Amino acid sequence: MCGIFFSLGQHGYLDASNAVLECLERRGPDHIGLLRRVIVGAASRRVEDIAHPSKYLTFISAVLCLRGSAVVSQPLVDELSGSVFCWNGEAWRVDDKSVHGNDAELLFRMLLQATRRSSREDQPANAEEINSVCGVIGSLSGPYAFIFYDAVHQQLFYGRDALGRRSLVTRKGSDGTLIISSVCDDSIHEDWREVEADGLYILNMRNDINITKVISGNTSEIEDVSFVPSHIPWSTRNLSAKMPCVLVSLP
Amino acid sequence: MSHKRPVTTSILFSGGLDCTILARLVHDLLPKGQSVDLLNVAFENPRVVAAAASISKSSLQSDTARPSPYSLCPDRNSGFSSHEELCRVCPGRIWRFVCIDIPYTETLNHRAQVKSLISPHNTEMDISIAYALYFAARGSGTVCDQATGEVAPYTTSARVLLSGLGADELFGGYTRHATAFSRKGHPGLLDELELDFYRLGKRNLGRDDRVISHWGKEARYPYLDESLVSWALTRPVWEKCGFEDFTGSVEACSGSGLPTLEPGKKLLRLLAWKLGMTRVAAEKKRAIQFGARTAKMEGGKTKGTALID
Repeated sequence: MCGIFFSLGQHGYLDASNAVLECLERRGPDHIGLLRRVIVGAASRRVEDIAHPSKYLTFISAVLCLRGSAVVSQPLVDELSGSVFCWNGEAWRVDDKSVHGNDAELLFRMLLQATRRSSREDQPANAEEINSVCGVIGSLSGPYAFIFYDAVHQQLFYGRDALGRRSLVTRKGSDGTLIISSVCDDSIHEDWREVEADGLYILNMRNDINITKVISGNTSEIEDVSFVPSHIPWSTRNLSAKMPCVLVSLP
Repeated sequence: MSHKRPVTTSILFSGGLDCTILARLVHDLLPKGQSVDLLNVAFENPRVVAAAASISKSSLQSDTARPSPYSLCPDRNSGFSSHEELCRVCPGRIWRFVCIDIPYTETLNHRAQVKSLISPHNTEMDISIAYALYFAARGSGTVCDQATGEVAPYTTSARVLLSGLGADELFGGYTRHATAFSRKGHPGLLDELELDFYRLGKRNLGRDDRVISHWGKEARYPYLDESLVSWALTRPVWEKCGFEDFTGSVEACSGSGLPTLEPGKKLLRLLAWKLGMTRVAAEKKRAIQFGARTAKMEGGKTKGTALID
């Protein structure tokens, strides 16, 4: 059992409270790691904006090691792309083949493969790339909750297995903050809800592209604080004896 | 004979059909030298204790004859019974029955923590189920040495906790499944099963994960293995549940050497029978918050859907 945590801050890093850190460490007593990232708005190339990142990301993973001979530290990071993976789960089988060795490392490699940089620079992920990620997640058997940050396309993927065996809760703050975590933070009372165990969620961090809106001859920039993620539902009604994996459908 | 190897596997063990089948199957899979911890949790429920005390008063028993509050928990009794059957049918392995007894004051001491963990869930039913899982996952209780009768404190070192959750949803183990069948036949039963199954993740498992993982344990649900689930979902409902078999054919069954079994989860009962666990094959279903007596500790009038204050 592991503990995972992600936060998005608009004006600075949004740290996990001590209570949450304590809970995460109890879930994963073998190792805990923290990672920070900033995103600078791609639409803006002005020098002064580089000094003012538009988004602050924090990733925390606390690991309970039950398989394999060594504790693999998390969050997993790819130096080349900058992508990050927080995995709380057991991938017993991928594509109906048993997994040997560390499942988090295997899955991370597959996700990096699915999201590797294409020849189109600075473009958002297309349907094919999202489909690839769905394909990786959809091929798993086992319980999980995960957070995967695709740094190439600046997209955040997260979700739980279709049977909802691992916890994942979320909170959107009115100040544009977002938390996705294994446990709630008690010091913030309102607006927590469970991430539905009904598919894959995708949050586009690049939403400051094309936000210029023309109103009566004036140009104004609108900051998107709604953070409504895209959602790709699991299709569990197609389970059959030959296909033990949960099928994923793209709308 | 003592086994120095640390215990790796524990089972959330009410002694009911689902978890006892798991124990029986574990026996076929784990090397013989490995012992298995059976975690049986019972709560001191003041309301139940008071009710029992007033009964014993009215029958003029002395105070010293008052039963231990933990023996008033049905799961403790079914736990003992299934443990005995397991030891008989699966000899050559240490099946360590851990009595996890929780006094009412202990429950109160942990109330704030449990309430925090189950959040955003917040009903009385949520917390009463959570208490049972929380203390079971903590895994601290007592063990009775079968040779000497000596009782000693014990905490399980197993990080893996097997749970029989999912069996009722797949094979029709709840009373409401029987009710749905009696009112609306197979279509009614199918609707009820589908509703329960797809609700599992939303209703139960996130909450359960938060409570169990707090102790650095990992719950595993064999009945929720994807292959088993996809197989079970394709089975005709009359093969799985067996509500229709029960009506009227008891005499016919008892003469032919076939087991007379409780309705519901027919497939699992027959499996238990086949594996030699004939007593537990006939066990009645009881939900964890009633079997462990965590429900309605403060007052009998509180509804499960009430919010925790």
